[in-house]
Amino acid sequence: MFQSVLKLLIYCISLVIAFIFGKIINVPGVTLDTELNPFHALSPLVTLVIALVLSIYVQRSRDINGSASDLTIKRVDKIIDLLDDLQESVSATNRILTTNANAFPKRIGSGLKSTLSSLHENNIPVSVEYSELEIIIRDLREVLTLTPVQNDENKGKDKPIYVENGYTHYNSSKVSEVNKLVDDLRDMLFKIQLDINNSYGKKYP
Amino acid sequence: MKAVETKLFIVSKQFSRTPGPRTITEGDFSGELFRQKFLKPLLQSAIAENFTVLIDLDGTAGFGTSFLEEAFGGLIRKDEYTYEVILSKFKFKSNEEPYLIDDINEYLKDAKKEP
Repeated sequence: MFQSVLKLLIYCISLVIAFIFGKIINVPGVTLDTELNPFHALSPLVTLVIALVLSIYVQRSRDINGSASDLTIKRVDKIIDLLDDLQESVSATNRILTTNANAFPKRIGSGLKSTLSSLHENNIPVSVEYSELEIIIRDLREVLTLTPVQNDENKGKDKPIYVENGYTHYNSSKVSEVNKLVDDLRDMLFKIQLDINNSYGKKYP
Repeated sequence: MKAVETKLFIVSKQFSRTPGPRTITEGDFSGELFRQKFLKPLLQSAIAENFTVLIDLDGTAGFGTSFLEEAFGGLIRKDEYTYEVILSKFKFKSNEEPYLIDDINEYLKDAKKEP
């Protein structure tokens, strides 16, 4: 706001200086009409004011939409962070807290659902449907949390998945399954990020 | 004709916000505990007193597949209720993860198929 007022002031001063120069200096071959109709004098000022108001409005819209795009991208980034956390804990230790194993798919799913619905509300076209993501999230939930029905045959630690002391443990093939599904989700999130960037870029170049 | 009463059971408030593993030996707030302490008594009362139970699955941190399988599939597998009786007495609500309702239905069907 201060910058806009300053700009207006500079334009006014320039106009006054130009007017004074016009009165004082005579360039050969160039004649300046030194009689100034007050309505004609007002005309550039009015134009300037309108231009300023428009530029302030456009700038504000760009700021608002720029921050909307930043916020949406941050949301997607948070989901990617969640996926990274999940992949890191499972890959590094082959285990995860059972409550976290239960919670991760829901957190990822609700984050994605709210991000996609806010994109739809803002008329940002996205090439990924929630239903596609939901299939992967459901698979991920199953891989992370489906332990076998306990019976004598299933006792022992050579199982692909088992729960002990509050942790769900996975063998290497289960870890690979988790990693594959996390990578699939990450690929889809990357597509969503590209869609967001393209859309905001087209709307506000 | 008297309308059948529906009682609400909110898992996050009446059981736990953080449902746990499949069995009691595996950890706290297990599916087995949920079945034994809440689902089975609720189902027994619903049959005896002729009411239905709306089980609200929203508000928890998230359900593991094993938790739900043990809780609902176990009613058929271990407590020998039938698929039809369970579905006639239990209704489900899940706005946050609507697919859980389909999953529970699948667990019940699979438990029904088991010898």
